[in-house]
Amino acid sequence: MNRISDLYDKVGLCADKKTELKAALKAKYPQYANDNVGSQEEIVLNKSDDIQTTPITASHGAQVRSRAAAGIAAAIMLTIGCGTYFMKHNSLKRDNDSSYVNSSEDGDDSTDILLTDDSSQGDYSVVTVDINDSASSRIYVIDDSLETDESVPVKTPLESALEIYGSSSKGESSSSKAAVNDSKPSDSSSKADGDVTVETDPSYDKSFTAAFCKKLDSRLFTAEWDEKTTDGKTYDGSSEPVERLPKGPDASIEYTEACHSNKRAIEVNGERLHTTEYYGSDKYETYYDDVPVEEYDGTKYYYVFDYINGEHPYVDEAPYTHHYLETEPSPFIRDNDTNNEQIYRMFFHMSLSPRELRLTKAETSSDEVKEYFSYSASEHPVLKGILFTNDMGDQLEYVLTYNKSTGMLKTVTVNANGKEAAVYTLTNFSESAGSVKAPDYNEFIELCIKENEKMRTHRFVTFDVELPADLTGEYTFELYKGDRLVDSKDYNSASSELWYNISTFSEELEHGESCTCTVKATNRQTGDSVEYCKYQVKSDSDTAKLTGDYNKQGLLDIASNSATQTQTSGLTYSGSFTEAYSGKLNSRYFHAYFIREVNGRTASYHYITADGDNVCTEYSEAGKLDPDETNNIKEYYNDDGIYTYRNGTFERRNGSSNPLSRANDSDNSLLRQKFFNTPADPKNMTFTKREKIKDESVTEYFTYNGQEYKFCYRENSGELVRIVNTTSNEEYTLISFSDHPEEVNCTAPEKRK
Amino acid sequence: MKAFKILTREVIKVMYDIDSIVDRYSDDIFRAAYSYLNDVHEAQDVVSEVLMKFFSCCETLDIHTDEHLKAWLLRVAVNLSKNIIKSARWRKNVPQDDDYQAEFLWNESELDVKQALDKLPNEYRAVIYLYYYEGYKTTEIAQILELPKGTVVSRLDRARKKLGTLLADYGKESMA
Repeated sequence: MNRISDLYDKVGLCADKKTELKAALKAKYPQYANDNVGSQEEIVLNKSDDIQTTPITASHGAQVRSRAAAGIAAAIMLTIGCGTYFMKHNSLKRDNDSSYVNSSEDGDDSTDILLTDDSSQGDYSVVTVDINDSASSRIYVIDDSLETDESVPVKTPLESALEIYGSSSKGESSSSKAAVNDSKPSDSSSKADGDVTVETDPSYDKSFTAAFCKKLDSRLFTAEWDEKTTDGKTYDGSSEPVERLPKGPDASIEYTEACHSNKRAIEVNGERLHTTEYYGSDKYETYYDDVPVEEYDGTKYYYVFDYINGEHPYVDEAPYTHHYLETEPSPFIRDNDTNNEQIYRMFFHMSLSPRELRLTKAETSSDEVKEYFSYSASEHPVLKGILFTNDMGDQLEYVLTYNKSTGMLKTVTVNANGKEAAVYTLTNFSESAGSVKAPDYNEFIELCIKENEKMRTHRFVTFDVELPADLTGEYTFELYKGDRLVDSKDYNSASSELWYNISTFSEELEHGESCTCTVKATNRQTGDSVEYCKYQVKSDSDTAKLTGDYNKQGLLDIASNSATQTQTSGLTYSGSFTEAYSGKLNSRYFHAYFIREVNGRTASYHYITADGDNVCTEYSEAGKLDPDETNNIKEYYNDDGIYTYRNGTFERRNGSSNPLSRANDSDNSLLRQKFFNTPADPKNMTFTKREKIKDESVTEYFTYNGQEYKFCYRENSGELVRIVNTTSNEEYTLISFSDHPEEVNCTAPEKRK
Repeated sequence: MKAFKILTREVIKVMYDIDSIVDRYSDDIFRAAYSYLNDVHEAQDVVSEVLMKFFSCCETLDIHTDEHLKAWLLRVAVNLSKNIIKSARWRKNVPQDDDYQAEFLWNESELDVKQALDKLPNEYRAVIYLYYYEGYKTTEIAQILELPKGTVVSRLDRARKKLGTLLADYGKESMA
C-alpha cells in the first residue's frame, strides 16, 4: 500500500490555484490576512509559574513555553487581566500593560506559545495566544470588571464541574461554564488525572415535536418535525430544512442527512447494487451496474442493508454479515408500534432513552396515520478530561454525556493521544435496576472507572461450522448469542460452507467472560428445527471453542423428514392446464374454467364448454365472463345447479345441483396434478405443509419448479376454492370441476351429434 | 482583588491566517475531494468552497488542535463531495476520464494503482485515501465520513480485496 501513499503524495493543488485562492480569500475575509496580524509578544512560564512578558518584534520573537497548556491558558488570562491569582498552583504576575517574556526552565513536553496583541477594550482585556507550529491563534476576552472575594476558596475543576452539573436551571451562568471549560486547553495530553470539565453538548440542547406519517398503501416513510434550537429559531418542514443548523463541522449537511435521509442499500457479494435514499419526500435511487446476483433455484438473493438516519440498525453486529431476501419488508413500513419505536428512537438519536419520547396523539385520515411525539433532551452535560490508563498503558480520555432528566448515561468516548477514538453505548445502570433515580456525580465517576476496567474494543471471532457431508435440502442457520439472535444464514445443498464472524463486544459478553453462542438449524421445507451446536466465545482471548459435538444426526433427521414428505406426492398425470377440466358428465359435456387473477385484477382467461350442438370453447378477456350473445343454448354450472342460457337469459333447471361439486378430497390430488401438468417428473411437486385456518378451510402448500402454490379447500366439502402462487401472487379461482375424474380426457370437447 | 473570567464561549475567538491555512491544508482538502470525485476541476472547487466556508464561520468553531482542524476540513470536503455526487448536474454529466494524471507526474507503477483505484466506488476510494494516506483509524474515518464504524471496516476490507485482485492482475501484465 506504499504505492497509494506515493500516488497521493503527488496529488495536490497547484501553486497557481493556491495563489488564486489566497487572493480570493483575502479579498473576502481581509481580517484573516497576514497584514492584519498585530504585534506579538512572548510569554514563558518559569518553574514557579510566574509569567513575564516583554515586547517582541512583529516578526515573531521569543517564545513562551509552558509545561502544561492548561496553565498557560489560565496564566495568560489572569496575567493580562491585572496580575492576579486565578488558581492556587498557577499564580501569575503581570507588571504592566507592556508585554514581556522571561525564559525559564521547561520540560520536554513543553508547548510553544506566542502571545500577541495585548490590549484593553473597555472593561475587557483581549489576548491572543498563538500556538507555535500551528496555523491557529486564539483570542481570549477577559472581563476586567469582575471581582472575586479572596476569602472564597478556589474550587477544583472537578468541584466546579459538579457545581455546573448539579444545576438544572436554564439560566445557569454560561460564563462559569466557560471558565471551567476553558481554564484548561482541551488537549488531552496536557491534562492531569482528575481534571474534569463539563459542558453542555449543543447537539442535544433542543426539543422536537414530530409527526410521523405512515402511508398505508406505500412503502415510503416520511417524517415531519418542528425543531427548536439553542438559538431560539424554529425549524420545520417535511422536505428541506428552512435554515441550516449551527451544528457540527458542516451543519447543513449533517442536519440534512440526520433528519431527512432514510436509506436502503442492496448489496450483493459485498458490492453495492442499488441504494434508495429518501430526503423528505424526495426519493433518490442509485444503481450500480455489473454486480452479479446470487441465484439459487431461480430465486435471487440480495444483501439488503437498511439505514435509518444514516445509522445501520445492526451496526453492533457487523452489518455486512447480515443478508436478507429482497422481499424483506422495509423498516419504514411497520404494522405494529413496537418496530416503529425503533425508528422513532433512531430519528431522535435515542439509543438509550426511550422515556424521552412521548406519544401525544394519533390521527387517522383516509390514507395515512399520523402519530405525534414530543421529545426533549435539553440537559445533556458532557464530561471531558477524565483520564485513565488502560491495560496497554495508554492514557485514555473519557468523554461522558449524561442525561440529567432521565438519569441515563448516553455515551462514552475514549481518546488516546488524540488519535484513538471509540464510542461505546453503555447499558444504563439506573434503568436496568428499574430506578429512575439520577446518579449523583460520584456515582457517575465510579461508573466511568468501572467501565474503564472492562474497556475493550470491537473485535471479531470467526469460526467455521462443520456440516454433514451428505446433507441435502435448504436450511436456515441462526446464530444466537445468549438468547439474542445475532446472525442468520441460509444454506442449501449447493453450498458447503457455513461460518460466522461475530463481535466479541456485546452486552452479553463481559470482559474476561465467555458467552455461549448457539447455532440452530431450521429445515425451510418442513419448518423443523434442531439445535446444531454450541460455541463458547471468550472475549479476552477472542476465541470460539466448540462445546460438545455437532448434532449431525439431529440435522439429518429433519432432513430425512423432508425427503419422506416429498415422496408422498409423486403422481404423474398428463394434460395441460387449459384442457384438463373438460370432460363428460352423464353423456353431456361439462365445462370448467378458472378465473385467473393477478394482484387482485382479473387478467386472464377462462374456458367454457357447453353441451348440445352448440358447443364452443370460448376465450374471454378480463372481466368478460358473460356468455356471448348467440341463439345457441348453453348450460352452465355453479354452486346452485345447472343453468341454461337462452337468448340472453339464464334459467335454472329445477332440482338441479352443481354436478361438479365433490365431497371428498381425493380428487384434489388429480386436480393438482392437472394443474401442475407434471407428466415427467413427479418430484417436481413437493408437498410442504398443510394447515387449517380460521374460516374452516384447509390450505395445502406445494412447491413446484421452485414456485410455491397454496391450495385452499373448503373443509367440509373438500372443494377447491382457489390456488395462489405465493411467489408471483397470481391467484386462480376454480369455478367448477368434474365430479367424474375418470371421465376426464385431455382433448378438446366434442360436438354433440 | 480582581479576578477574571472568560465571558462566554462565544467571545472566545480564534485567529486564523489565510496564507498558513491554505499552505497547510489545501493539498489535504484537494486530495480528499479528488479521492472521492476523481475530478480535478471539481476537487479544486471543493477546496475553494471548503475554505470559504471555513473562514465564514471559523470564529464560531470550537476547534482546539491542528488535528481537529484538519479533520473538520476533511469532513466538510467529503460532505461537499457527496453533495456534488448527489447533484443533478453530476448525475446528468458523467464525469470524464481524468486526463490530469500526467500533471501529477505519476510513474507507471503509480498509474497502475490509480487505474485500480478508479475501478473502486467513490466511497471506497475515500476510505482508502483516509486510511492509507492520511493514516486515520477506522473510527476516525467513520466520524469524518459520518458512517458507522462497521461500514468503514467492511468498505476497507472489500476495497483491499478488490485492490489486491486488480493489482495482482496488473502485476501479471507487467511481468508478461
